Amino acid sequence: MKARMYLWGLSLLPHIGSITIKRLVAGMGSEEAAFDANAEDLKAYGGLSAAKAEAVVKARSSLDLIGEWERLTQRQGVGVVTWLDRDYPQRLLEIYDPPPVLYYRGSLGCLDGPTVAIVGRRRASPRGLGWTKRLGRALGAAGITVVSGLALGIDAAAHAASLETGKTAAVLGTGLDIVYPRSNERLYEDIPASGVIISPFPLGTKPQPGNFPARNRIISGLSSAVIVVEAGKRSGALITAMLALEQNRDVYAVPGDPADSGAVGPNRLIQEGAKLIMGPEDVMEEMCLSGQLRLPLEKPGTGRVPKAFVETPDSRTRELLRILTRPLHVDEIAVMTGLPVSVVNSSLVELELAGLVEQLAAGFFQRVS
Amino acid sequence: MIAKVRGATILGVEGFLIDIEVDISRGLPGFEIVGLPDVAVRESRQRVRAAMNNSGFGFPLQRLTVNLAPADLRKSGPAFDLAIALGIMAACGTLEADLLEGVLVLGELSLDGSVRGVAGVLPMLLAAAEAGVPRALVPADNEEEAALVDQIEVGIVRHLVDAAAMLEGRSKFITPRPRDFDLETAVNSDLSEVRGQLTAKRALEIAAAGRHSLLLMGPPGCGKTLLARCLPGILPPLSFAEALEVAQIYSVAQGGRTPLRLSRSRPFRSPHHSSTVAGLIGGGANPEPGEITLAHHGVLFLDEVGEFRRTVLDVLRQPLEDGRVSLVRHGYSITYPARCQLILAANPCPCGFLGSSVKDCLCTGGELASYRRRLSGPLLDRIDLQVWMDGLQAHEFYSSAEPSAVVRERVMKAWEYLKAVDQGEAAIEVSKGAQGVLARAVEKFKLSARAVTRIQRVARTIAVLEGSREIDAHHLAEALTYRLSL
Repeated sequence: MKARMYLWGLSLLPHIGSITIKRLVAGMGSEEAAFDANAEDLKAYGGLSAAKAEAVVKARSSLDLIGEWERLTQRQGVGVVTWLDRDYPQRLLEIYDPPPVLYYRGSLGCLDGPTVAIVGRRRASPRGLGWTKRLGRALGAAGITVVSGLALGIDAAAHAASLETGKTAAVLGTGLDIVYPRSNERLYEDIPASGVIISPFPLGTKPQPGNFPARNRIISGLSSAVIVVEAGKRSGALITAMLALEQNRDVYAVPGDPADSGAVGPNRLIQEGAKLIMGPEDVMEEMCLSGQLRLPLEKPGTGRVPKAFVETPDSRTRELLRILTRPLHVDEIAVMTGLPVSVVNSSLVELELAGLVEQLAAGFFQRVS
Repeated sequence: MIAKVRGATILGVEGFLIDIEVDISRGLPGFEIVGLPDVAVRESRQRVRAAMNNSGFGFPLQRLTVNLAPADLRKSGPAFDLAIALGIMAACGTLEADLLEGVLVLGELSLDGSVRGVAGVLPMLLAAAEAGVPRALVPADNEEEAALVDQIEVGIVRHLVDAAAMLEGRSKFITPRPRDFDLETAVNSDLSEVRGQLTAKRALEIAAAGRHSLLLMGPPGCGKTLLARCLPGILPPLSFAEALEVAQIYSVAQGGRTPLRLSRSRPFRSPHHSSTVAGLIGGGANPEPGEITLAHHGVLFLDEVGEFRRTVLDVLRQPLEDGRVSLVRHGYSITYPARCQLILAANPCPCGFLGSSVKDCLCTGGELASYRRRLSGPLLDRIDLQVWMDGLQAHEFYSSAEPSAVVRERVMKAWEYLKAVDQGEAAIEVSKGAQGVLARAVEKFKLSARAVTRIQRVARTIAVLEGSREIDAHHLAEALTYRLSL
């Protein structure tokens, strides 16, 4: 119990990362001793410079460890897990520098089974969103936990889709109590009910650019594979993919039109050897081959039958469903079918309410399965 | 010796008759104006003196007191110049005092005695007509306006000398011929010029039919502004009474500067996004109607609504709901009419291409977040119809489209029926199917109570547009299309 507290204390100190903590604990014999290490020990065992060691000692002296720890553990709705605990995600322990402490809301159990990360750009196209939703829903239905970063665009779509049929885990680049971006507030509230929201950062940490690479490392670390759906040339999703390779995870990519800026990332990954994904089946097949999933599998898309099916699918409905295999704008659909746009709009909303089509971005629709 | 002249002033956009009393007594020469005059009124002393001297009437070297009654009403503007000059002439005997009986006198004087046009002639004449004043002297600049009030004989004056001649019967008052009420409405743009954008056009038609507010969201160049400009062309033309109301507002706001015509076209105002609060809802030290009043019975179009200051958008809320603006100043208050239809256009993000299939968006997450915060204010909460437009695909440039006239026919029919509904002469039922759709939508889209009311109102308009007397499931479903989740 005490050890956890001191480990947590160590994680709050500046200039000390997970590697330094490991070295200090090994050198000093216990977490408590490591936490109380003087400047000399910090230099000798932690490999810190004199100035940094001074800073650590100073920060420690102003920290009311016992009081703060009590306050944290009594806080409702916030769980703390350290690498000393049994429920710390096992997969994350495999990586080179797992975070010593994770804060979470929800239950960590969903990370024990098969997990796949879906990542991509924030400014996603309707096409990218469509793919993400389809993958997320099918993987969720197959019992695979979908991991992502709760950012806008692809991340949010991945969480929302997998939440519909299964479980999802979100890794934050902020403190657990900061909702960022605000537009994801509903996801932030819905995810813990069946999945988990995780952050390696202390409560109250604001979104800072430096936090996000660390978050990406955890996203790939928690997953047995990373799917990149849409990413620009310098997207954070590509960083996640590189980290995944370092951590010995599989990297999959959904190809795109080379002229599309959002396809540069995944296409380049494929060129460099990532597995090309054409649908959820490809992901599952690959995961079976590498032993992360066991047969027999539920067929993708049959995870949940839409609740309210349209009573009698008339010819118009069939026609709409037939052409909506790819994301289309309402106006395009009207031109293709020759129907008045008012009819197209009302039919689409009725199909959307019936759970047969979904709106990806404003005005863009696609069939659910 | 005392003389009395009828003048008028403007409060808000209404005219009020003022009695101008001029007293000449012996004493040190002086010239005083009392009765809540503003600076422009007080300055008329200098103009009147010079104009009278330069027109050969001479200015009496006696003690002059001019009273503007009722004394508690604020008087503003230079419209009293001519009336004061004629009053002085009557008071000192240059002009027979009873010639001024039953004549409303309007006009600003130049130093040489010529008469300049003034703002607000139309509402002032209407006030006079209501009070039974039979004749009026009106500056030549305002002749067009005077012709709109056919109950009053009008003497058109160009110079102080004309005015005296007119009163002495040396030239004639005329009954202005009521001009033909302009049947053709000038159309800004025609819907047939708008290529593609089927959903947005449909939304515009619904907005026109139900007087709903509309938000057009889309990348630059997709036709938002053009579409908005088409709206007056598909709205029913103004009735005579409405046109007169609109003309009164313009008479006050820009009368005397541009010739005013009675038009059946609905006003279309698109203030720039740098506009101030006073510019939009009216105000200033000498209160003037704002854009929202100039758009009365017409369309107020806010382009690039994301660029408007938040405070400016927030003050629009109350007037839009009430249909009028009340400005309270120290000692008095003014009410301007403001029954206008609000159309907003916005780029989906600072660079404009978010969600577009034509070009990529280059904004950072932070930029997006702050832009959205600015957009999703309390004003946008109240927009009935919200449409996301995409850029045009090449083939759409050659598509053909319905002309405005055809759409307007449908809109006018819908107006008629909706009017009957509002007057309780007709009813619109909600079908079971529609109720079911709404119930499911509330659950699935997590709609707020306000959103539900909005959707029902839009669904009603859609049903009426189709000629249905019942809101059906598909009407409600279509109404659900026109909402964005920002």
